[in-house]
Amino acid sequence: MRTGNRANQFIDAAAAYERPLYLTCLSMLRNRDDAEDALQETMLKAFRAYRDFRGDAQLYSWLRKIAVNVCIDMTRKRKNVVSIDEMTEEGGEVQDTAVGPYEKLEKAERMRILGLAIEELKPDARTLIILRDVQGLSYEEIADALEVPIGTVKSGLSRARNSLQKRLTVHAELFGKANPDERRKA
Amino acid sequence: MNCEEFENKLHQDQLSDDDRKAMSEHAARCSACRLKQDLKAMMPRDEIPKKASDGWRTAVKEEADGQKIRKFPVWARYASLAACLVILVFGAARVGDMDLSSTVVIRNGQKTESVPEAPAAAQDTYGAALYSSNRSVSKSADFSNYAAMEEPAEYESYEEAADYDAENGAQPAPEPEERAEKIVRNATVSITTPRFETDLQLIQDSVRSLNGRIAASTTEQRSAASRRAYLTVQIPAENLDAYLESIGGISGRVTRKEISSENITEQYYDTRARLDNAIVKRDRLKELLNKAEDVSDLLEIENNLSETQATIDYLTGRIRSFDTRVAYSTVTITLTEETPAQSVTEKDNSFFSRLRNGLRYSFESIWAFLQNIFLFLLIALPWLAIAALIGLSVYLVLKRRKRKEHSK
Repeated sequence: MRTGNRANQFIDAAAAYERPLYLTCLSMLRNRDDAEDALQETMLKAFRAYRDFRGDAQLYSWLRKIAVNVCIDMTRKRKNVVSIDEMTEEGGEVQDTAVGPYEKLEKAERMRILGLAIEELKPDARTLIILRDVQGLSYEEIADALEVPIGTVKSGLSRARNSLQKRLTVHAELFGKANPDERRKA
Repeated sequence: MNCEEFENKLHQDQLSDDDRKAMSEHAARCSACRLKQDLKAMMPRDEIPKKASDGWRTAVKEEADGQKIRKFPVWARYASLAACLVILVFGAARVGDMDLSSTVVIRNGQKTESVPEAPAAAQDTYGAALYSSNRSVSKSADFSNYAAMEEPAEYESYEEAADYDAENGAQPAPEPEERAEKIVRNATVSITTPRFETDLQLIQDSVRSLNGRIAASTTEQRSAASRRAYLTVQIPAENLDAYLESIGGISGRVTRKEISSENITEQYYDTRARLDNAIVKRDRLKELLNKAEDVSDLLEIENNLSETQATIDYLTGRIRSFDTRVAYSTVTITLTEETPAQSVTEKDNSFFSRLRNGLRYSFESIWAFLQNIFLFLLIALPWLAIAALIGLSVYLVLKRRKRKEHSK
């Protein structure tokens, strides 16, 4: 009975974060089935360690840290990445201010190419880009989740962004030319 | 607005109209920040599918239920592992101490294997084998033993005859003209040899060449490298010394040699006198039988006569046995094969030799240990089966009880 209570307690506490966690997984894995698996794995891992969880970390950031690491492991395991077409079709609904059908189409194409370009990045670089630029995590949060110093996050992210931009130069008509002056400013 | 400000604002939830305007102006100029904007737009905004939401809840509950049954305290897991190891090691050691080898008795070229249920059993097998070969090969080998075994009826009649003699005041035996000394000479020889087969053959050959006979022969496998032969040999008394000499000539070492002589002159002539008396008595009874007319007399005489005849037979047998024992000496030979280790007389005490031997010893012990573990596991199988049955039933009972608790 005690264990049953413990399970219910955990479910009640974690339920509030299931959607953000699912979206974290989905953004990292870009595949719904994988995201579902990752969410389940995350919750199981969290439940097993729940007894040792001391309230000093916020439950959500603790769960997110587990989720990020589960996703990184899963990415490592599935070397052959699933086609990202799925995401561009169904997911990543374009948050849009553009009104005209042409703009809509152009944005969708940009998303598709961006997805491909991200997929081509090295795993570490991809993780950093997704955590910072897609999910909007702070540098501190990323450093905590990956258990690396903040400096490493910053330098790695800067390299990852450059690498991504380089890949996009062939699609200058969609993303615009990265001019050197701009980059220096950034 | 610079890029850093843009990046910070980008991930804020609440933005003022001014901020929005400043951001879109910046994005128009800066491709890097436009990219950031696009990247942010990639964040999915799906609702969580019901399947995923239910999935993890079920998984957690199942995990909790599974843990209830499966979860042992960590110390219990280590303790059971340690217990298994201890049982395994002790079991292997016990197996190592047990004598599980079979004793192979080679008799007349035929191997008989006896399982060492009790150590005494093997001994008995040997004894029985020796006895039976004694009987089959030479009946006169040990006549007193033979007589006791085969002719108990006559022995009884001897007792009666003695009583009869005492009652009737036996006549003194006629003094023989010459009383030759009757000496029985026997020998026991133990030999250790590195060339077991050759020496065994030599011993047997010289028996034949000296007109002797082999009364019994048993070969026993004592260990992988050592055999032992027990021979009981009858040699004409006059050839005994020659035979012992020929045995001394073989390659083996004579570790024990014992020659005994027993003077049986007294017994011999005693028996002889009683035999003569009995013969005289029988002859007289025969005469009486011829003269007797009364039926009761006739019967009594007949009884006496048959008793006397039995005594005569018994005493004749004894005399014959004495004659054989005097004429033939019994030599008991134990031929032991020397194990190679026993043959080494000089010790090589050099470093490398000791290292080699030490290493060999280690490897052999490891090999023996592994064998013992394997043997132990096989031997323990019946026990393990019983333990598994008990364990399984306990597990099932516990599980059912937990289920009941759970459903309450």
